This record gives sequence, structure tokens and C-alpha cells, in this order.
Amino acid sequence: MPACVAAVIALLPLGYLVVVAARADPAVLLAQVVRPRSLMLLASSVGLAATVTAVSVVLGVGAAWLIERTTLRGRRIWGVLAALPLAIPSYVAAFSWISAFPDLAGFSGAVIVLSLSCFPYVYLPTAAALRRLDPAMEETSRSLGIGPYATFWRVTLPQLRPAVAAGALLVSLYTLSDFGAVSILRYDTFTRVIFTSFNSSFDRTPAVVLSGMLVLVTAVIVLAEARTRGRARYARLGSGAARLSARISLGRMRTAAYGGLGLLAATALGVPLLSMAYWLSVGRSGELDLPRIMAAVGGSLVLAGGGAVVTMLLALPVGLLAARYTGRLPGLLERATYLGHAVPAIVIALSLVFFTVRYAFGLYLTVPLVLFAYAVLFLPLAVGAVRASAAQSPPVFEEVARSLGRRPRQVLRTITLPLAAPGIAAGTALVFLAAMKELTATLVLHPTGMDTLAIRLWTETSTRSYAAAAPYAALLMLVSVVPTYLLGRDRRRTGGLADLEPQA
Amino acid sequence: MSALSVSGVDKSFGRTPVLRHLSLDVAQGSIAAVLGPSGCGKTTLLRILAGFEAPDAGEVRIGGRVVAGPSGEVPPERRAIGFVPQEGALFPHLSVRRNVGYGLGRCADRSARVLEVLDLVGLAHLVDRMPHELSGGQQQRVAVARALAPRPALVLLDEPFSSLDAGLRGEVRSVVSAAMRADGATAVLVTHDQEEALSCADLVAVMQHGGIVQAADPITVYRAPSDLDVAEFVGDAVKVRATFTGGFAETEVGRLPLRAPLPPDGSGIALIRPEQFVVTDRNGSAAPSTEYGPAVAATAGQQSFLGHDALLAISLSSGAVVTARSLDPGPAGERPVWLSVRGPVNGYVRGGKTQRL
Repeated sequence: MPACVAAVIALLPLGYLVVVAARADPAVLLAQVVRPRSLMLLASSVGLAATVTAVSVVLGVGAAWLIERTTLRGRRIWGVLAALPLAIPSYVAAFSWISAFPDLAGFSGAVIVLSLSCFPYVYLPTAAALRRLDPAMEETSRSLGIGPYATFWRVTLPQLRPAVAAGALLVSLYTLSDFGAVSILRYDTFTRVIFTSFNSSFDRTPAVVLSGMLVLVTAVIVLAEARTRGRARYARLGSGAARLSARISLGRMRTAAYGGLGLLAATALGVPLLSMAYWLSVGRSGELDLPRIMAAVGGSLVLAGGGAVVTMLLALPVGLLAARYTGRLPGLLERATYLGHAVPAIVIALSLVFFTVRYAFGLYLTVPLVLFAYAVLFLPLAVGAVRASAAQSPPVFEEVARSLGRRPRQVLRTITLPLAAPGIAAGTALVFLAAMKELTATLVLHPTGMDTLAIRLWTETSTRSYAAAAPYAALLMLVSVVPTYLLGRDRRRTGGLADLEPQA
Repeated sequence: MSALSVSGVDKSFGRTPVLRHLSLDVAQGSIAAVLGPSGCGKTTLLRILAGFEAPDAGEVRIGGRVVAGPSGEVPPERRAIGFVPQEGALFPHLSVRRNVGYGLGRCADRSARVLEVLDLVGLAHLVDRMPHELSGGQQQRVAVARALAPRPALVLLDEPFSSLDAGLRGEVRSVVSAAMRADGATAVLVTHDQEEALSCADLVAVMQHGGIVQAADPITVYRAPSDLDVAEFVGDAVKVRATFTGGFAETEVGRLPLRAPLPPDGSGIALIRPEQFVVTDRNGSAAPSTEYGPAVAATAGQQSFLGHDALLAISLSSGAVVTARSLDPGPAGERPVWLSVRGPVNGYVRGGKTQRL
């Protein structure tokens, strides 16, 4: 029953959007859809998503191959550096780039910033897949007279396809739903225009229509990926742990490889850090508005802390249910909570605005509404964590405990929860961090007068007060990168990190 | 009184029947092994006994009390059972002491009982270790101690030794069965390993296609299997064509006495265990005669040396090949031998299934 509540909460925003669209006059809707402006937006959004995805795939697969399969030195450090950009919220990266290179505004800037933020989505699963690959296949290919590079193209790469496709899906969804980076870089996509039209007009039709179009594009991408995945099955047959493949010596290409990886790290991590440091030092000569910063920190802590607790309470029943039972209902409930992954935050926020304005005006622009939005957005993160940690306590433990005379509730208390507790705590921390970084929904829904780090950064950047924005960028970087690095250290072996994602 | 009594239990998963009218009785204080190939339903039977699954029909009694039947189910925690799963499944966050004490209430002799059962499995000195600090065999022994601690009416073991490597398996097995006997426990052990079943159980119940096809002491099951399927499952079996008359089987390896109960006169199959064959050198010597007739001439061929003994492929004059077990395989290569059979054999009427009775 509590699991159903979580599913309803997750489905409410999208459901309400459908209701609003259904009630509107179809002719008006259609007219909105075929407006040249809407179609141009469709082209610019899809174009950006396609370009960013392509660049990310090249960067991600290239980095994964260099790091995992060649004899380059410092693999562990390169591995961390290649994963770390994921921790920098894309709007923080966008701030650092545009403040350093003001000419970057527009398409090229958006491609650079989003690709550098997103390529770890491809790098991480690809690197993990490379590590899991059965070396016997490559060895067989080599024994049949195929050289190392040809073997990579003909044997290795095809096996990486599912991992690369999964990463590419995340990149394209992320790019489509990104609001902060494209706004700061002044490139018009669905999300940015939805926000401006909602902010500047009382007619909600354009925002609803554009939201609907955006959701449809997202759905098409998700379905397309599911189709390609459905057919192939790539698995190592047989049992036992795979050996590691032999690494390839790059010979004279080695210098170029170091240069490439170095350049990637410098642009993805170095530029944000240097630019931020520059503006911090400039800002120090001016006035540091400490009370204002403290207020923003306080606001972030309240919202993120509340969001983490609410989300985890909702996720617990769903995650435990999904981990224990494989029936149709638990599966449906779990999938419902995953909607937050695919639906852009701007759409969720907007739909909550419409809903509260109409049915629950008392909640409009209040803290509970922000927490509600966080729950929708971060339920997938939390359910995943609960599910994984419940797997720490396989059913056989519970069976043994019951055979020893303990009632189900005692078993939950003495066996299941103690075993799952570390994972649940880590999951709560993840949601907390993700909520700290969340910009879009917070911006739309926050109570008037309440500031958070993300909102201050966005406001200062949009008036081009880069020095004033820098302290917020630095604090956000701190809460993002340091915990990611710490968590990543423990998880790297399993290819984790992918679930630590920035929110647009 | 039976410690465990299962009668007429049916169980299906969806449309697949897993147990078909299964019945089994286990006497107080004995160890019963349910032996069957994988997929025969033996784990399902164990889970029904434990109360993790409910039977579709039939009745289960533990210590005379009905725990599953038409009137409902007793939940697992109120059945007074001990359960030892395949991998032991020690609670990873609890020490050995707290694992073993988990099923004991706050009774006064709690810590004494913990040490007592750990002593039975020879691990009292490891009482303060954590599970990950134990070897696989030690974990399995602790899991048995944990199951024994609350003095259950019935201990259930699900292939408890199959995850251990071969060298360790025999040792852990004998420690565990000795511990259960010392504690007077009644146990049901599920396994697909015939050696395991034959060596540590008082009662071997051979399970096939969701039912018990034979339940008897290990010697009976091995020497007098109820049908050819059972015979082949519990050990190596040599099958030769035979004609049964007056308590003897006429075969191409000689006239062999039949073990009771006798099959009806007529043609059928005689079952001989490879170790019943006696192989002697034929180089010019006369045929040694046995109690019931002379040995037959044959040719010894390929050998498989197994260390403790060897298997010899023996070609008969008809061209048929039988396998003989021999402590001394003799010189390699083809050589003429005399072949005779020691002890009574089992006769089955042709056609395959349960024909003996």
C-alpha cells in the first residue's frame, strides 16, 4: 500500500499534464504544435541532443579504451578524472565556460559544455563492459590471424554496443532535459523556452504544448533504445571470473594518447576549476555578501535534507517490494517511480505549478511542494539504492531466521534492516547531494524569498555578475565533487558512479 | 512415532507439477537423505517441510503435529525446525556466537548451549569470529550448529556440502553427521550426490519425477534397488540380458543366483555391480569354477585407473562389453581373462520400469 502511494506521487505530474492537454481545444493545440517556432525548437533541441550524444560517445569510448585496454600509466587516476566531470552540475560548468569565454554563447558552447559534462555517462558503462569482457574471444580472434586493431573493431566493439547504447541514451535524455546549462549559454531549446513562456505569460497553453512535445521526443528515444536492446543478448557463457585481457602497447602513439586524455581532463575539469578560482579571486577584492551566502546554504540544506528524507521514506516500500517479489504489480510500481528519470524536471515542475494553482493553492510555492518535486525527480535514485541494499540480504537469510523461530517483523528488524542500513544511508546521501545541485524544479517552485545555492548561482549568472556567482559555484562544486570522489573510490570496482548524476 | 510424516503431498508451480502424491516417514533420531537428480523436486519438498512453500494437497506432520494440511499452515517460525541452506547463509553482520544464539531466546543456558553445539561441530574456539573470517567448511559447520542450537524437532539440510570442494566435503560431512547424532537430532538431507546419501544417512529416499520411488536403508538401496532407474542412479550398474528360472539368472557371464524378491520366470535384465566381477588371468590356465558354475572366457581391454581402484572394459564372446571394478588392473593392453561374478544379482523383467515386485 505505501508503495502505491509512491507510484501515484511519481505519476501525478505527467498524468496531470495529459489531463490539461486533453481538456484543451485540439485545434488550438495543433496550431501551437505546427507553429514554425515550435518546429524550430524541435530541430534545435534534437540537433543539440544528437550532437552532444555523438561527441560524448566518441570521447567516452575513446577514453574507456585508452584507460582500460592500453598500457598507459596512471590508469586509476585517469579513471577517476574521466568519471569526475559527471559530478559537476552542468550549469556550474556552463557558468565557468561563459564567464571565461563570453563568445561561446549559443550552439557551440552548449555542445562543448554538455559533452564535457555528459561523456562519463558513456565512459563508465563502456569501461565496465571492457573490464567484464571475456578475453578468450579476443584471443580466439587473434589466433585466427586478425591483428589487435582489427580485433577491436570486429570483436570487441560489437560486444560493447549495449553498454555504449545505454550511455548514449542517458546522454541524450540528459541533454533534452537540461535547463540550466542551455539557459546560461543562451541557446534556445524546449526547456529554456518553456521556462520563459511560463515566466512571462499567463497563457499556459504554449508551455503545455512544448512540454508535451518534449515528453514525446523523450519517449521516442527511450522506446528506440529499448527496441535495439531487446534483440541482442551479449553475455559471457560459462562460469567463473573472467581473466583480464592483455593490454595493447601504443608504441609511438603513446604521446598522443596522453595528450588526448590530458586535454579532456583539462577542458572538463581544469576550465571549470580555473575559471571559478579566477572569479573568486576577483570577487574577494569586491564585497563578499556573507549573510546572503549563509542564507542560500541554509535554504539548500533545508530543501535537500527534507527532500532526501521524504524521498527515501517513499522509496523504502517500493525498493523492498521490488527486491523481494517479481510479480507484475511490484514491477509496474517500480517502473512508475522510474518516470522521474525520463521526464524533464521543467515538465514536472510546471505540471506541479498548474496542479497546485488549480487544486491546492495553499501549497503553491511552498517548501512541501519543492520536496514533492524532489521526490518525483529522485525516486529512481532512492529506489535503486534500496533495491541494491536489500539484495545485500538475500531471502535465504530471512528463511533461516524464520526457521529459527523469529516472526517476520523481528526478522525485518534483526536481519533485513541491519544488512540494508549502510546502503539505505548511502542512498539517502545520494539523494541529498542530488537535491543540493537541483536547479530547475527549485527555481520554478521555491517559496518567494527563499534562496538556495543553485538559485543564487543562476540569478547572478543571468545578470552576468560572475564574481558574485563564483562563491556559489565553488560551494556547489564542493558538495558535488568531493562526495562523488569519496563514494566513487568504493564503487569504482563495480563501475558505479553512473548513479551519481548532476541534475539540470 | 515418526518424527516426520509426509503423506500424499502434491505441489505444482503454475501448470508444472513438481511433487506428485509424495509420502515419506522418518523415524525419531535418524538421518534421512532425499536423493534425486536435479529438478526432481527435492528442494521443493524441503521448502514445504520448512514452511516456505505450501503444499497444494496432502499433509505434513512434524513430531506428530500437523504443520501443513487441509486445515492450514503453521508458519516456519512455529514449526520447531532447523534449516541449513546450501551456502550456509550465516548472517554476515553477526558474530559466530550471535549467529548460533540467534534462535535461542533469552534463556539462562543460552551461552552454554551455544558453546555446546559449537563443540559438537568442533568449532568452539571460533566463537568470536565473524562469518567472513571462516573458511567455507567452517561456515557450513557453524550453520549446522546454528540450526541445532534451539533443539529443533527436525533439521532440514539443502545440499549442505555441495558448495565445498571434494577434499573437504567428506570431512565436513562426517563431522556434521556425528554432531547431529550426538545431539539426537532428526534430520532430512536433500542431495543429488549418491555417495553423500549412502554414507551419512540411515534412510535413503530416492526421488524421481516428484515422488519417492524407494525408501530404505543405504545398503538395501544400493544392493537391491527397486528398479533399474534407481539402480543406475545410486551407483554404476552393468545390465546383461538374462533368463530367470528357479531363482537363477542364466546370462552370458554365467549362471547367477538371484536376490529375493525373485522376478517371475522368463526373460529380463540382470543387474550386476562392477565390483561383483572377479577377473583372473587366462593364460593357458583352466577355468576357475565358482559355487554355481564355471567362469567364462573374456578379453580385458581398456583400463581407467582411478587411484583406489580401476575400471576394466571386458569384452564378452558375444561382443558385448561390461565394466568390471578391480583393485589391481593388471598389465595394460588386451589380454585373455576369466570372468566370474561374486554374490547374488538383481533381476528385472524387461520393459524398464518397476518390475521387481
